[in-house]
Amino acid sequence: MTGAEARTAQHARADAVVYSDRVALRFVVAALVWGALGMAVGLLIALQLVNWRANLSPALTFGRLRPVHTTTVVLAFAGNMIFAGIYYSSQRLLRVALPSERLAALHFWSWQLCAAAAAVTLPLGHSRGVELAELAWPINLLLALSWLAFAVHFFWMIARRNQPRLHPAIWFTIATIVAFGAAHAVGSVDVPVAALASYPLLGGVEGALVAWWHGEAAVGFFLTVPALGLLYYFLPSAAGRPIYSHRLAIIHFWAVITISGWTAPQHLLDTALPDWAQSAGAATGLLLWAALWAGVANGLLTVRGAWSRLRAEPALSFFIAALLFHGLAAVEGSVLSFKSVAGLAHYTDWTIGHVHATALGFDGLMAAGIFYWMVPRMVGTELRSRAAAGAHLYAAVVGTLVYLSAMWIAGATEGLMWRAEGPTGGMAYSFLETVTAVRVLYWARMGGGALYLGGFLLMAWNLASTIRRGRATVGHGEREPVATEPEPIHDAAVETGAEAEAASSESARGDAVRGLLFAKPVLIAATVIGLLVAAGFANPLAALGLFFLALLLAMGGIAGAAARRDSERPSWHAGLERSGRALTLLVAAAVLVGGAVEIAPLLARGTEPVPGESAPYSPLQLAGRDIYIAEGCRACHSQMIRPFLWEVARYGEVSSAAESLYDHPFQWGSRRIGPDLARIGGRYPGLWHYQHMIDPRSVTPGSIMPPYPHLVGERVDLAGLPARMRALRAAGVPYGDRAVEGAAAAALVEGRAIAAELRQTGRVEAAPDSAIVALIAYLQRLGQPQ
Amino acid sequence: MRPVGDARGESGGPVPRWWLWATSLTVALAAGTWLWTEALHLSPTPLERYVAERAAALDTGEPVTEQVLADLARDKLAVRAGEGAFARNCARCHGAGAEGNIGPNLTDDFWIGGGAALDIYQTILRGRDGKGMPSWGLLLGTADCKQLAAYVVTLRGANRPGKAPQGARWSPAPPAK
Repeated sequence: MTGAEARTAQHARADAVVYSDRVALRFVVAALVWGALGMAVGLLIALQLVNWRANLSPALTFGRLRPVHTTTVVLAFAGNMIFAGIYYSSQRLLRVALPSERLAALHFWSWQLCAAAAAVTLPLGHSRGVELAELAWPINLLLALSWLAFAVHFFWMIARRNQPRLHPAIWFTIATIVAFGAAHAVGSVDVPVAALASYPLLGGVEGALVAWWHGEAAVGFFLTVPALGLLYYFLPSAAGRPIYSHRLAIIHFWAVITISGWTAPQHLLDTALPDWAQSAGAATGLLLWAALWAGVANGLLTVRGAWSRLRAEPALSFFIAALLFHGLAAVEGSVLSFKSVAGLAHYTDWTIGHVHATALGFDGLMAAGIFYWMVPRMVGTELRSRAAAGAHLYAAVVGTLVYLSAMWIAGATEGLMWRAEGPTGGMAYSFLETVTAVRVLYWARMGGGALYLGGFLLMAWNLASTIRRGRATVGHGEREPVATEPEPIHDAAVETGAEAEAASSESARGDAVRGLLFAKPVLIAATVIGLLVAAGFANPLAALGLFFLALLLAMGGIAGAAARRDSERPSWHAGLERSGRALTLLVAAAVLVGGAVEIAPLLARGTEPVPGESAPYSPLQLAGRDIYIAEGCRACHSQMIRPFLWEVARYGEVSSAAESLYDHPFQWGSRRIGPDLARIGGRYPGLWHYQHMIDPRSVTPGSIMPPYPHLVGERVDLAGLPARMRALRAAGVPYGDRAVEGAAAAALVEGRAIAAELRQTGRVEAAPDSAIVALIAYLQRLGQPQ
Repeated sequence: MRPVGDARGESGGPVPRWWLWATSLTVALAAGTWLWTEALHLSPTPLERYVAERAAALDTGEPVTEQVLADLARDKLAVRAGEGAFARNCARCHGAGAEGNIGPNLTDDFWIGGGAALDIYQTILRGRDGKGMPSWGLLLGTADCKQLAAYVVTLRGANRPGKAPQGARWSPAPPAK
């Protein structure tokens, strides 16, 4: 059905809405295909950690495939899953037909194109080098357009809705659209160099904070918030009863979306990020636990007493399991925001386990529940096999638990071994010993992941057979009369004269929106947040006073709201739920305030260059750095030494903000599968690096690093260096005109010196413009700015 | 089969009491965290804590003197232990026979950071900023560093052929009367 047809159909039968599920079904199929692919890649990279020979070719090394895994699972699998759920549920919640099949198709195909482009370009080494934002700039642009198509379509549905009141599921989707859209826009601002190459405008500390603010949007607002919204539709549907508490849903929603914007520094605890930002992230990370548990409580209390439905509805078990894993991840996230815990867990496998508690435990099981619920209904038949769905549930839950346990133990083992002291002082274990110690746990993780993927494939088969068995008229969907629903209990008196009138004229509508925006609850919340922010900048005594004032005001506001609870007048929120505009504006303010408050001072102050710490890279070092980024070395090697004795003992003096001032992108990393490289420069002779790159095990027996022999034959594009330096200059790196113009010649001189050293020390012939020489130039400079 | 309907209804269940308590707890914890660390600065920042720990870790409690190290250099077991530690950690840059490679020759009479036993110990313990010598005190512990210094002291003046001399000429002070 085309868009025009859809509209005609709707107008022709004004008394009925025809839902179109064709695009939702497409998104389901896409999610199944990308999910299987993304998890298979996950399995391969897990295998690479126990057997380096699984690094099959230069394009299929761990460093290049890890971003393929994360991007495919987050954007392609989880993305398609939430789009499927949103297209299906929103039509029914808003009682509106899909406004345009064509726009939906545009959204669908552009999104798949992004996913495919990512899966192809990342193995080829076209990476921006920022975690969870690796895609080359043209793909990022396409992603933004696709997101825009989704946003336009969604708000179009809201504008044409036949159900005046917006359901909680809709609020969560609005928050997702605003937050991820903003984070993607801010997080991918680049200075382009070539068709698939660019440098991020922000580098160093600022780049790190913005990247993790975007990362939070990717994990929080992409993996969590939309799935929570879907939970508010699908869980009650499967349980056959309304959500437990609307009031709790309101609290849950506003708390989650407001706090999520603040927690980015949680990923950067004990790094060179300023202390105040770290403390802000740690404090808000604690709050997120309570906020997320409001949703867990609401979900579990909804199914309380409906346990008999578990047998009738396979989806319900998946939702409950998903909720439990979500609750677990929420607690874990808060625990990880304690600095003492983060000190142990950061850079270890614990982090990997934590994100999989959400990805496998929450999103994966949510997807399964949603699909088992939707697909049979979309094609008008029963699920092919309930037994298979049951087996899937067991495989998924057991697989996830095995995965998580393996990562918890591995993370704790790594963290404790890294810091363990020997009997006479000094470090008890070499880094390699800490890697081999967790090998058996890596096998266990693979087993858990394989079990999970097995269950997933069972679901794919089950759903595919269901679709094949269903009627051929897939997508014509069901009809539903537009009769107004009986008003839910809370706003029996909402349709007051003022509101009815308000809807009639545009200016009056604007007034109504303004009335909602500047209502007492908003003003109180804004004042409380303002006081807290002011407290952050104030001296100790004033800060205490401001905190106390904020607390008083918040308590007063809550008490006031509680007192009005039984009043006959419609609540402010009931009005807000009827105004898409006011709701969207407030949501935007809520999700953006945290990022703005934390990022703006950092950008305003900037980072001062420190002589001896900050210096731009030489042309050849820059070329080497590009190789480091393309190969994804960051996936295993951090470049950020935290202020702990054992880190300094192993890797050298604590890293400073000034040292990564000219790093576009920053390469601090988040995981240490190999040792930190922030001060690797000068530790070993060039020959060591040469041999280590060609065959890591010849230098470090037992190493799990992939070999990079192809770097010897590859040449660096010397002629392209000036363009790269000019792009970096636009991003703020102080390259002089002469340095830029003489880049190729200077690189050759530096390369010859390194080649000469290799010849002298190891009788090795390396071309001065070979990739390996450039990489050695970069590595030897780390921690030794000239 | 009617899939919808129930999801769109709602009910006014009360906010669970336990959740309110849990929330109050996290709010108190979060506010406390901020006030404690940032506003009142009652706990040291990560960097301040590290600097204090580092000072404590490198201070062995007993004074390390020229005499202590000289005695150790006469202790065969200590020197052998130092030799082992040298092979594991130092040979990479100074050469297996300490004849110098990336780092200087340790068997000649020229020293960048001073050739007295205590100078050698301090160079190993804390490194020499800007001269390429990393600090080994935290990685190896002070005991190993003393044995290393003792071993290096025994190499002084061996004059093995290797890297050209670097640093200033150093000769032992005339023995005290």
